[in-house]
Amino acid sequence: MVIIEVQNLFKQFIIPHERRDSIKEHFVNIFKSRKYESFNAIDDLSFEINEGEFFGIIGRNGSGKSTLLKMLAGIYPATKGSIKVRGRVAPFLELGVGFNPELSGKENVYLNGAILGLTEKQIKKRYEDIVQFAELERFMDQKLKNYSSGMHVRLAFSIAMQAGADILLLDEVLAVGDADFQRKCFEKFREFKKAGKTVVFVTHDLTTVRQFCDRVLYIKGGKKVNIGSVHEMIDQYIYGDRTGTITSAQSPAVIAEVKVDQGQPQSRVPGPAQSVNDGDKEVQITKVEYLDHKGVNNEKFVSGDSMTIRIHYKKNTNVDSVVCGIAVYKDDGYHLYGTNSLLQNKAIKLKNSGAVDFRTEKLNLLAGDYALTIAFHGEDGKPYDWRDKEFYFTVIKNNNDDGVVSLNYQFHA
Amino acid sequence: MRWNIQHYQLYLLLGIILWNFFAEGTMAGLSSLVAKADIIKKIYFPRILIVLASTVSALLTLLLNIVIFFVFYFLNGLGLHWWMLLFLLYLAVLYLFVVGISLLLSVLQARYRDIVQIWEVTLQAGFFMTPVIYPLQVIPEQYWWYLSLNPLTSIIQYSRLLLIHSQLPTLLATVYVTTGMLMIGFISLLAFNKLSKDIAEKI
Repeated sequence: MVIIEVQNLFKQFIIPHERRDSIKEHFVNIFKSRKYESFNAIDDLSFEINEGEFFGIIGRNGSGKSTLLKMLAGIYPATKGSIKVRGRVAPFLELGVGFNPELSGKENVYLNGAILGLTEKQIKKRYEDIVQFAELERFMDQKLKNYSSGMHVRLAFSIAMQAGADILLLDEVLAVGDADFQRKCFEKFREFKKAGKTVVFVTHDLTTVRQFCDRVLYIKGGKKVNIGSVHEMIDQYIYGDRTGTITSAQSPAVIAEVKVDQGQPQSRVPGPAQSVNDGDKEVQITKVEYLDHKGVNNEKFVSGDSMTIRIHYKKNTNVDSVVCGIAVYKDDGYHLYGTNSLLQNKAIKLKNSGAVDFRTEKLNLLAGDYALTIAFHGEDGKPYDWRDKEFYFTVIKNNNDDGVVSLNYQFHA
Repeated sequence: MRWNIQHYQLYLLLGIILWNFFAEGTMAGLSSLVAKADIIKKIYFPRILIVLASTVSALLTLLLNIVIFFVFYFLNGLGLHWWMLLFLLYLAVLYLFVVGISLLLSVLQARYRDIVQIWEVTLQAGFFMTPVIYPLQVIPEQYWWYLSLNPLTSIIQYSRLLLIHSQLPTLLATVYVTTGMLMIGFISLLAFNKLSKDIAEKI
């Protein structure tokens, strides 16, 4: 059964250039015309969510995810279009809405429960469960202001989980709490999933989306990019739009040795003319591309996927074969890896122009930005073309491992 | 000038009690939405509840004050009469009127933050333009019509008439003042419903 139906939804925000929020300001500027811009936060969005589904909404910052959630919760009215929701919604854009520090824990349970739409009777019935889940039995008569922030969050989350709504709207609320608390949240989620509840979920944490969601809506600039299975959507999210702003949004670390502008992907691949590098250009690297597992040009890779580095070259003199060397650096300049074709006893025969592929089936690097040094040189070490840390790629995490490299491991006990 | 008013203390007390209820209720209602901005932005529930809840506290003060009023009432040797129950109707209508004004002011306050200062001044002026401390009779009769445009004048005068002077206001007068106040309340409610839709963005 379709439980949430969104049809041709629009949300327009009017952004005045100068804010006037008092009668006095209006009066003083009575003859000044008001300039404002309008901005479509949600732009013709249609989708359906089925009952019992864990539905994820992903998209970059400012893509309209939170606005959409607020509209589903009824906080923002639609400019155009319709939202039909069948069932009671419990929105958790923030945990513990309306908590009053001057009231006791118990009173706050009743207060927050009432805000979530529970009757006093219903709260009374669930009170014991709430307190037990929060592990705060001893503190319920204390004022909330004397709670630690951890206790605060635990209490809020327990109420949220016991609210017993048909539809839960969650906006990054899982980002709070310690590891232990998060584990508890996830356990509760699995219970919800078993109980057939509908959960709508906005997050940047793709690992969580992978773990729980059945279907994912991917939005960009308020428009639906696609809707479908988790795997496909995340794939599209990461690999899909190469022209997007992910580079600037997700890799704030500017590589110190960069000679080219980070913002423009094309300029990272220098043409022969502007080459200032070592080597006498008997063989010239003309272009370096990265191909993802679909064979599509990309600069972002999910950890563990395959990656191909395609090095295009041009021969200027009569050289038969070269040694191709590759070194990988972390964005802080740390040398992680280096190899060359000689070490593999592989001679690279050259045509007049062509490409050399460097392919790794499983990219064992964890999330981060990496720089590449690529060089062609003779077997005697004579450099033909040496490009020091001139090429970049980004790795996106697929799990919560920490560090730089991924080891293929298994625990045995 | 001497005001020849029977039971002037009661007369004054009743006027002040009713006026204070109006002033206190609307001031509390006015700032209620803005004060709860963080909740409004995070969750939906009927926004009218916030305004209602804020005026309830003024209503409780009013009821307590009326108890005190009746203590003095009996000390003055006045007795009850069954048609004084009409006073309850007046109170109910006055409360709805206060809620209505609060609704209107609260959504306006969310948009224009200086409404509160304007309303404070308006209340001060209103206090002297309503016969709270002075009797209506000191105003020349040809101006009474203007004063009757202020519904509080009517409700305070009729309550005094009913309780202190044991006179039943005419049916027409009662209908006139109740429908007038309810109409204002209702229009405010409509305005509130319209203006509170996008309150989460504006607040």
